[in-house]
Amino acid sequence: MAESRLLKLGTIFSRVNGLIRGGRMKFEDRPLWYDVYEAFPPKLPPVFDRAPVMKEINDIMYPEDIIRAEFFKRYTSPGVMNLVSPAGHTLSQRFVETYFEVAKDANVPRDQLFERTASRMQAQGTVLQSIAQLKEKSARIAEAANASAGASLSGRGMAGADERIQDFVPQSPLR
Amino acid sequence: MSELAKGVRWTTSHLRLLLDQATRYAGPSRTSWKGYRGVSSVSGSPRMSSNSPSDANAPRKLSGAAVSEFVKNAHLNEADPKVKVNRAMRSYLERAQAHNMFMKQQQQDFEICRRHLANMMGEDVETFSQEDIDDSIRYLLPSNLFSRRSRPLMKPPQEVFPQEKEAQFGIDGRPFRSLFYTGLPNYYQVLYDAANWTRQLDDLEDERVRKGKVPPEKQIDLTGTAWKSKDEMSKMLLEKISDHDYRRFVLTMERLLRHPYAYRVEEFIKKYRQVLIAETKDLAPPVPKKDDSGKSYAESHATKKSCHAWVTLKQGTGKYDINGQDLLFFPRVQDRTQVMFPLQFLNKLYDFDVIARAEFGGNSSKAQAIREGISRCLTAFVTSEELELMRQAGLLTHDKRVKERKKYAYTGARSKPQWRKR
Amino acid sequence: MLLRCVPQCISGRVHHLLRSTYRPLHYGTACSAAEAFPQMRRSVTEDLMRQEQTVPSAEPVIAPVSSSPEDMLKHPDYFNVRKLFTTKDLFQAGVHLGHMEGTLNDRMRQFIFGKRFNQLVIDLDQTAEYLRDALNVLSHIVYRGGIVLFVCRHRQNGYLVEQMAIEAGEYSHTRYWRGGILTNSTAVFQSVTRLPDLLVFFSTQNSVLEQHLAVDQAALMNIPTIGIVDTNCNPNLITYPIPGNDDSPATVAFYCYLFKTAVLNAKKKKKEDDAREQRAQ
Repeated sequence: MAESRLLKLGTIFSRVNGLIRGGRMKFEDRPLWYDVYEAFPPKLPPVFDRAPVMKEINDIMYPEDIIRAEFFKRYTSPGVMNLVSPAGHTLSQRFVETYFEVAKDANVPRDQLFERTASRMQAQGTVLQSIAQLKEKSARIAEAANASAGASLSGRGMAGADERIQDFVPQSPLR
Repeated sequence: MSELAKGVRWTTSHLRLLLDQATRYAGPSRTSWKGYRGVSSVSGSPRMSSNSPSDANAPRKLSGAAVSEFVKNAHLNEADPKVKVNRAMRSYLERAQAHNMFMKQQQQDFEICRRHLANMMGEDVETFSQEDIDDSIRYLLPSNLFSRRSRPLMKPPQEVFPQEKEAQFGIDGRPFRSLFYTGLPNYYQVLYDAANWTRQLDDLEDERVRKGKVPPEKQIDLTGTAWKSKDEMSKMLLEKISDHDYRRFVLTMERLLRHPYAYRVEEFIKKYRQVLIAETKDLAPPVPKKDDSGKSYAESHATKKSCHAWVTLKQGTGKYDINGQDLLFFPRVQDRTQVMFPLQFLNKLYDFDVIARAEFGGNSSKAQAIREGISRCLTAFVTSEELELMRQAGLLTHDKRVKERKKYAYTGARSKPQWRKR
Repeated sequence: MLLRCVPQCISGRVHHLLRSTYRPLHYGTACSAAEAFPQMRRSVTEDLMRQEQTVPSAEPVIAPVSSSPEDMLKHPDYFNVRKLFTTKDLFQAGVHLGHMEGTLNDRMRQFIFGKRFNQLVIDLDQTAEYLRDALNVLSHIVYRGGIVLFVCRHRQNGYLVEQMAIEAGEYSHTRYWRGGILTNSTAVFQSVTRLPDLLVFFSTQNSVLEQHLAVDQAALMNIPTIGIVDTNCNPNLITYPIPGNDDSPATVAFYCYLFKTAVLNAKKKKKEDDAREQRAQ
């Protein structure tokens, strides 16, 4: 088969056309795709050095992004989510929806929308845990854990515990 | 040739003629085979077209799907001029025809050669078998060449020349295999199948887990087998596999094997395992005999390098008779311990007498040959557990190493004369 | 390697954002945030719906044409590939997900819809058009008895592509590409070999940084190519490029479905047309 073995000049169609025009390839021997290409030419010519279209790429932002950002600033992560099931809404998503519902009411002052939404959700029975609350809670849990550990130690005798704790004090090599 | 046929006295020219004939099937012809492939595939005359179905030679030797496809389309081809035989298929048919003609010629030559050889050896032409051919070649053209492959041979052409792969594509040039364009369709098909099984077993496992079922403790019994070696795989798949390819194959199969439900694809996995032959099975222990005085004894023959040792192990009190002397036949202590080792290993030093004759070779060779002979004899008197112990201690393994020949211009087999810069 | 998943597996906030678009929700435009930030766009859902509207909803009426090669090519959509998918299908398969902005190939700029937290989003309007063109050409070439070779060098998706090729009765190459398969085929296959008439790339990259060798070699041998080009690929040498995500298994499975259906439809059509022709004789 006649071949041109060029890569950087023209398109495959123009190259095969050149072969046909130059008599290196008979028209009857044209490749199978030739007619298809002719009837349905590609939208962009498949040439090696086609210049890029320098289009600006914009950020995609939505109104709810702001609400969601504020939500996550104040409240903690919604806990475990089921990513497999497409049904059901996440906490932040429900918050956003409630927010827009609240916003429909023109009587609500615009600067109080967020608080109103939060109170409405809490009224509906949703627990919104703020970050401060979470910290407090985890501190309480840690305290309880310490207390129980201390209790178990005291049960065995504090003197022994002191020794045991002494064992775990890291010794500085410089000392 | 005619002189040979009449069975006159052999001369050197006859031998040369025979050698010519024989070597056409051996080493040198392999290169000519390569040349043949190249020529046929590249510059096969296009006028030697064989696309007419009446061409007797071409389609007959094509096998399998290619043939059926060809025959199916052959009448179509005649009736309907629109159906074009693809260039690839045409080229293949030409090559297949050339190959068949070549093989036919080789077969004829081989037959003539066989008859001449039979006449030369004074044997019956009709019953002159391949073993007879091998024997006579060994007799007429004795060769001391180290490599067995380099020694002269005369085999049927089917064994000497690689089989021509049958056509991989149909009359329109469309390949039969979906993975054809990878270049290694058979190999990649194995990988694909393994991946396919793995996925199916995964699905099965998921389903079982959903039903709360645990996989059974079943496992494939793979004791005494191993993955087929790279060469074995290449031979099986008719494709040249690289080390990298082989590693990937083993990885894929190991992964399938680790699957808890792998026992369900036992058949598929076993296809790529080969049986390791246990060495003990090979060893047929010599049968103990009784001598006049009623004592049992066993005989054996063993070699080491050029030394041959004939050993008789007899029930007795621990006496040694080595070439008519006792253990002091060996001046060095090391050789004596070598000879005593098998009996000492099984704590039977005082249970047997050893009568050995060792010839050729040096003292070490003699000692080691005798050691091997004694071990072989001992197998007739020991239990299977002791036999296994002996095998593990390496007593039953023949040491096949031989001295490497000295090379021309070297001072030894590999050592070179001292080098000095001019 | 940039890790990406279909939206269903994306964790964190991106998941929230993208996920909200699954539900047919209309957010009121009269909301405070929109008033505060008028430069912000409408929601993704609306964008999506807008995109769907731009796709001709009424299928072009397929006039019964003769199956002669000339008439076939005059028909804009002889194999009815337009019906195979909608823009929403593309979105749900995750076709719009591009790589991070830093890996963008400038030649892909024109196919990009925007960026969401630095992750590029591909314009599905354009993708749909390019994909329909490609499917049409694929069908025509299959109809004419062409050989289609599906190429994919993505380890994770190789099996899918091989399976699809087997089911479609075509060819696949998802393994190491040995040089000369196209350019020196007679030596590589040890016989004169018919080369594929169309290459379909599921990923035009060989690794993260290198282009697949077959892209250049197909152009050298004057073989047309269809290729999924991601935001980090070079679409120039691909005859019929399709901008889209080329990494996620779910997305590749979607492409597999499309290509397989198109191939099988074309083969079926060929059979039907042949039978009709024989009956006419």
